[in-house]
Amino acid sequence: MNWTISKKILAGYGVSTILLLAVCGSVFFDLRTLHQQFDERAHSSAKVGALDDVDGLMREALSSERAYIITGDEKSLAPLNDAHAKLGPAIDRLIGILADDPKETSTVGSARQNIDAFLAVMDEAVNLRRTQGFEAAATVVNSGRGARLLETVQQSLDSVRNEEDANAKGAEQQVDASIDSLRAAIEIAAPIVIVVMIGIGIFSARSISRPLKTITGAAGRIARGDVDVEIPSAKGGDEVGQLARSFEQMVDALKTSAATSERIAAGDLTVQIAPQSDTDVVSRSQAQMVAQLSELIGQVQQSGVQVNSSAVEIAAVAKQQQATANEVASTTTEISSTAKEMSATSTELLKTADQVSLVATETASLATQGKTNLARMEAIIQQINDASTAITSRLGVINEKAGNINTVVTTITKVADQTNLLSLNAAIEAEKAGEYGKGFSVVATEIRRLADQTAASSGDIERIVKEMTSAVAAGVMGMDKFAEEVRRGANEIGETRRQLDEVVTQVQSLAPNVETLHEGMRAQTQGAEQISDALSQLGEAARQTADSIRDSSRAVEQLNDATHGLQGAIARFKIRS
Amino acid sequence: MLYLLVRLADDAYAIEADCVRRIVPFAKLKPLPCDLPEVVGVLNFHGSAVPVLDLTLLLAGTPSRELIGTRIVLANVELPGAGSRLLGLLTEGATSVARFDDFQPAGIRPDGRPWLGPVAEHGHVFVQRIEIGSLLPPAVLDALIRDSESALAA
Repeated sequence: MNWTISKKILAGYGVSTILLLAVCGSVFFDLRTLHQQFDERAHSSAKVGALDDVDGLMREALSSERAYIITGDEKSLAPLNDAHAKLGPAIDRLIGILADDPKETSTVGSARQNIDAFLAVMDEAVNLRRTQGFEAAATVVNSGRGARLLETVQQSLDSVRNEEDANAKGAEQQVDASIDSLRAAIEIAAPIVIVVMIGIGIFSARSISRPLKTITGAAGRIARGDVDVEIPSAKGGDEVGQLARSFEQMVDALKTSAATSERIAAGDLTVQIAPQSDTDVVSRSQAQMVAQLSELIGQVQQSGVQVNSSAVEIAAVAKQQQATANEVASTTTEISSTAKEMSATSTELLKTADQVSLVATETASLATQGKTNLARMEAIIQQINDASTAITSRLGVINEKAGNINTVVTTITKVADQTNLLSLNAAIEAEKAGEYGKGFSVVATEIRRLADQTAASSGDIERIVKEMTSAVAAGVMGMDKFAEEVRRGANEIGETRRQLDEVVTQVQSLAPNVETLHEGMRAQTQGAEQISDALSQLGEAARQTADSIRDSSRAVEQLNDATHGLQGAIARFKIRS
Repeated sequence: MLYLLVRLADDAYAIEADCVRRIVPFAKLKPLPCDLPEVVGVLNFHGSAVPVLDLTLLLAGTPSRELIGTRIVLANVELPGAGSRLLGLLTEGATSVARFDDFQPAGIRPDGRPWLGPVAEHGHVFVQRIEIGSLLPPAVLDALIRDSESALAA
């Protein structure tokens, strides 16, 4: 039954209200019946009252008549007169009251005649007393007519009264019955309504509290960190069912989150985290945690690799440094011995310097001789230079002449060509002259041959002149180069002379320098000894450096081991690549 | 018979000496407006107008250069109804004469060059004869001579 709790509660109170309304309706109906019955009883009492009035008036009328008859006192007639006045209206009223009962109405109607007759009898007796005295009146009274009429009226009135009494008795029984039924209704309905309402209350409370208890228990387990819970009341369609389903979803989300956390804890950072909604703080923070953890691990891995490579590099560098330090140590030893040797050598050098001084003096005199020779050479070179200039100018003249020869050769060539042309025309004309031109033809042929030879010779001349011109040009160029070389030679000789001057000057200033050299050599010997000592210390320092580098190498190896350990520790994390 | 030899590069050609009126040195020519590319101008030879063709262009395909040995061969051409007229042939290498008698017909007569005649052996080279009369159709030659005369008169 997929009813919400509010529907269930509303339904329960609706049933109770309907029951209560039924009970109230039946009570209201009973009370109305009772009211009617009380009305009927009051009616009957009114009837009896009216009957009693009529009865009383008649009895007072009778006693008044008798008293008058006995006493003759007019005053005693007041009740009779009263009866005369009131009996008619009393009867009318009675009839009005009895109008609902035709039988009683007729009974009273018949009684009215008897009442009228009775009053007539009363009046007759009174009149008789007044007129004829006591005796006459007594006869009327003694005849008993009045008393009989009264009795008759009373009998009929009594019959009515009896009937009304019976009616009243029946009505009373009905009232009792109504009251009984009312009581019974209240006594039976009230417990039923109470029981039903209590039942609904208990049912509603149980339908809310039982699943809530389960959920509370589950929430308590979740609060203690246990997410492996089952919510059995998640099938209901009411608010608690919805609450249970939401709770179940929450538990599922928590389980997913817990599984994700377990995978992350196991080092699997490739896990996919899909937030349930925009406000899913846990998933977002998990995703952020995974991202940051991945980044951190990536960085740590990178750093590890870097540290590793750096450690390897440092180790290599340390090895190099160690080797270098060893080399330094051995080198310093070598240098130390070398310095000692230097010290010895400088003493020898000193002797050599004395010899150098001697040689330098000789050199100075030789250089002076060389200087004079060079001055002579310079003069000769100047003459060569002049001669080469003259040769160059003459070559220019030769070139010019060659040009003239060319012009002449061209003229000769032209003349040869003309001659050839003439010989051709002559040969042709001779051919045309027939037999007469034969001798002339021979001459023409000879002329043409000479012309051709001339042309060939002039061609040879032209070629030779051309070769000569180019040779002259080469000669001019060569002379230019030669003149340049000569000039450079002269410069170099001048330079050499200046250098020889310097040599002489410096050699002459060498003697005092040899003394300085003595001094310097002594200082050098001392310095070499000092260097030797300092180098011994340096060698010791280098050995110490080598030792400390060995220590740092060990430290680097430990660092390497540590980074390997770090990488091994990180390796169990799987990172999304 | 005597022939005028024309040597151009490795080839040699022969012009019948009987046809040759005179060989003259290269001289300035009066220009002649003409559609034929080989017509180079008009020569005034003793007062008569002579149209000049570039023989080097016809034979070797390149125009004649202005060398010392460049000459103009004045040849007689028979014009029907007008008798013998002169035609100038500008050429390089016309520097000798020779005698031949036994010309053999050339194996191949190329189209468009009907004026290349039979072949004779001279020394170790073949000499091909140039038929002067076939260089130009008579009507064209006639028109050319008349154009040359009017050009010279102007």
